[in-house]
Amino acid sequence: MEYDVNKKEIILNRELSKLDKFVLDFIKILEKHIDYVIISGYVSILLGRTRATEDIDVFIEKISLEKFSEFYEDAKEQGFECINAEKTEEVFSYLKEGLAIRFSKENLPVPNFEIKFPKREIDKETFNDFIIVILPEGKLKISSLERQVAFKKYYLKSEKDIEDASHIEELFKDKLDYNKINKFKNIIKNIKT
Amino acid sequence: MKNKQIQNKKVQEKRKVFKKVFMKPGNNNQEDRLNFIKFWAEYIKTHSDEDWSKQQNIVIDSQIE
Repeated sequence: MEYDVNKKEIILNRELSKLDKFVLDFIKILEKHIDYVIISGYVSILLGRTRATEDIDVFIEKISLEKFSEFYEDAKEQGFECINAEKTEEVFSYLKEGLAIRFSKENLPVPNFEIKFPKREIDKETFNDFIIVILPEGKLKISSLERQVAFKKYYLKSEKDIEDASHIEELFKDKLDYNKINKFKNIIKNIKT
Repeated sequence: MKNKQIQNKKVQEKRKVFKKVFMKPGNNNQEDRLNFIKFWAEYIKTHSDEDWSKQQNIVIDSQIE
């Protein structure tokens, strides 16, 4: 695994798991229509953390119903479904309300993608603070490692999240920007839960 | 392919430099889990992506039909 901090790029020649293939299949459809960044648990798993997950969290850019419909039709054609509702308008209304919607392979609710619009300013900034992971069969956009560590360690804080953060810190300790992590830590302190 | 060859060479060089690392048992479950994370991160750094990901996939894929 090679992390080029300046290029904001990780080259990862890993053997793909079934989960990675599921992610790449879905992202190939999503990115045709909507800008995205993968956040949270799957980022750590992609980078080697030995645990499973039922969902992959993704921020998508704010889009119109029309643009969302194009994506949703494409996803359905490729065998995915939304497990929250069937009608496009209803699914989109959840997104607009600030709720997360989930997509999975038809009739197979696990694993699934949890997709949402970023609400807070710090979350919106994720679209300018990402890394590209280059895999043997495609590319994925993930949130910066500093953002990942800070949110897991200082906001989510469950045992699982602390372990996810530790994995990234151990793996990239000589490349992480701890000033940036502390900046996030201070912003997170003021987030109302 | 070229990237893979470069990475494998780097990993082999690292292995020559690093001594085999052993995991320190923790005094409780939480500490033991964190010690394993440190041990596993070191393993990832000193082995090829193909090597560690094959092992990791056993855990991940066991959840998916």
